Amino acid sequence: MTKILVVEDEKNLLKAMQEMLVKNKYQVVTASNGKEGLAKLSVDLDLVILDIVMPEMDGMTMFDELRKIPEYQNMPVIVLTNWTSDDAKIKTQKLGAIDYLIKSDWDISQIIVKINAIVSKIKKNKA
Amino acid sequence: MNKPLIDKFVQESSGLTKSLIESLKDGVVLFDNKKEVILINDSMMHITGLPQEGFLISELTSLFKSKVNIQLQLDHALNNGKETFINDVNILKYFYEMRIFPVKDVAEKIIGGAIVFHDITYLKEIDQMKTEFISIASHQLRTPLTSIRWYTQMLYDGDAGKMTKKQTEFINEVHQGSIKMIELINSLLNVSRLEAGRIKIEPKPTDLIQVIKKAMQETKMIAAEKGKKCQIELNIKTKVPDQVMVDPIAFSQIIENFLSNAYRYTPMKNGKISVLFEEYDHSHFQISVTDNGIGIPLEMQNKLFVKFARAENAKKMVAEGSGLGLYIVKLLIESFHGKVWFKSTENQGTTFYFTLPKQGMSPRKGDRNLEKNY
Repeated sequence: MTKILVVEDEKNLLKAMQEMLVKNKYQVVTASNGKEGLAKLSVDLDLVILDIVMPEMDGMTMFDELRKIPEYQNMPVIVLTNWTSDDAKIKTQKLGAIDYLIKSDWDISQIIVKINAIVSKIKKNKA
Repeated sequence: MNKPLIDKFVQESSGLTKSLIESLKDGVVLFDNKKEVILINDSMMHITGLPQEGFLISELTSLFKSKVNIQLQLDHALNNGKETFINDVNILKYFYEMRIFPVKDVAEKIIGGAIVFHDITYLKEIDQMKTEFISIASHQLRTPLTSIRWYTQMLYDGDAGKMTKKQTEFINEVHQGSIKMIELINSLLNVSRLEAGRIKIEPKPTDLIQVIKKAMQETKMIAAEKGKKCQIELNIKTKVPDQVMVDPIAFSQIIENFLSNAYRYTPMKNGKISVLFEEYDHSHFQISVTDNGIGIPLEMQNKLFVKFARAENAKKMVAEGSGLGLYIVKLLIESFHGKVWFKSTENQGTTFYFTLPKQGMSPRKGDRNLEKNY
């Protein structure tokens, strides 16, 4: 089963993501800020979905920290945020983010379609 | 009046003029035909730190930074005898509006010029605060709107159980409403950033015809979803290179905007839209979008590219619409030195035209890309 870590501080958005991912047969681990996200990292994760603006530790810092850990240097990460900053977009691209999605610009079903496509690509590459 | 009296009068009035210039809060500098400074007021000396006389005007203008070439504008004002205005010049941490006036003698011969610097630093600061406010407010608004958008879609899709037809219809209205609000936020952000000159233009080799075809395809799909019968055709009447250096986001937003207007204001049946790609002159392409829609009433035609402008007949036909689309398009087209205009007859249709340099768009620095267009 594909395992996804969703790092998101907005409880209602996290709940919606979790609900839809589980419905699409994903195993979901959740965290409500970057610090918790780092603590919940594991090598069996297939994908991290990461918000940017969060309390305690923001997504950018978590992404930076994650890449410093040797076993997560190639961990696939999608940024899913409402922070429409080009600086953040460029920074996360440099860290190897697969995509930078603005939450409000998409229906949740469209986001799931994108995640499905990315996951199948990741699986293909692994195989 | 006798001569000594006239001389006294001239002397006194010249003294008065000098005192007036000296006391102005705006920086003022007068120069002669050789571009040597003949008078500089206290404010100007304070702004630049230059002495009262004995320097050339170029020494003064070289202290200021501007997006336009000040020296060229200066020559332009003197050669053509017309006042020139530069919107935004900067020295240290201060910003000024700069006006260049030719000075003429009684025989209308240009004998020199004057430059007036008006401090707009305070206005720039307010503008910056407004931009930051819009940016932060838009982020804060996006989160609850995302929640409404996602959950109403989940309800609509039956993720929380089957709903009645009426419930589905109502929830769809809420869902569409949330999308319209997000669209409005994106448009407001685009306007605020375009007005502030913060949107970057990043030209990349782009297949223009491909972009147009994609936008046409999307318009067809939207029309089909709404049960609208609409024909869209493309005519290419000039040789278009496979790749032109344009910012693909900006170019597709312009095309999408014209197509979406054309589609929205054409009749439910027999809607006809045609896109024409032709040559405007030796250095420009002309792209136009023609529809057989409701047209633009005559009284509205001169307000069409104004912010929040919407015609009465447009409001009746399509309730939604921010009145920002054409304004954004105009700002975008102007940003790459293109022209935009239209011809329209009420109840017959409208054609929107714009020009694009054949060489493509010049890059423009900025810290933002355009937000998503719907």
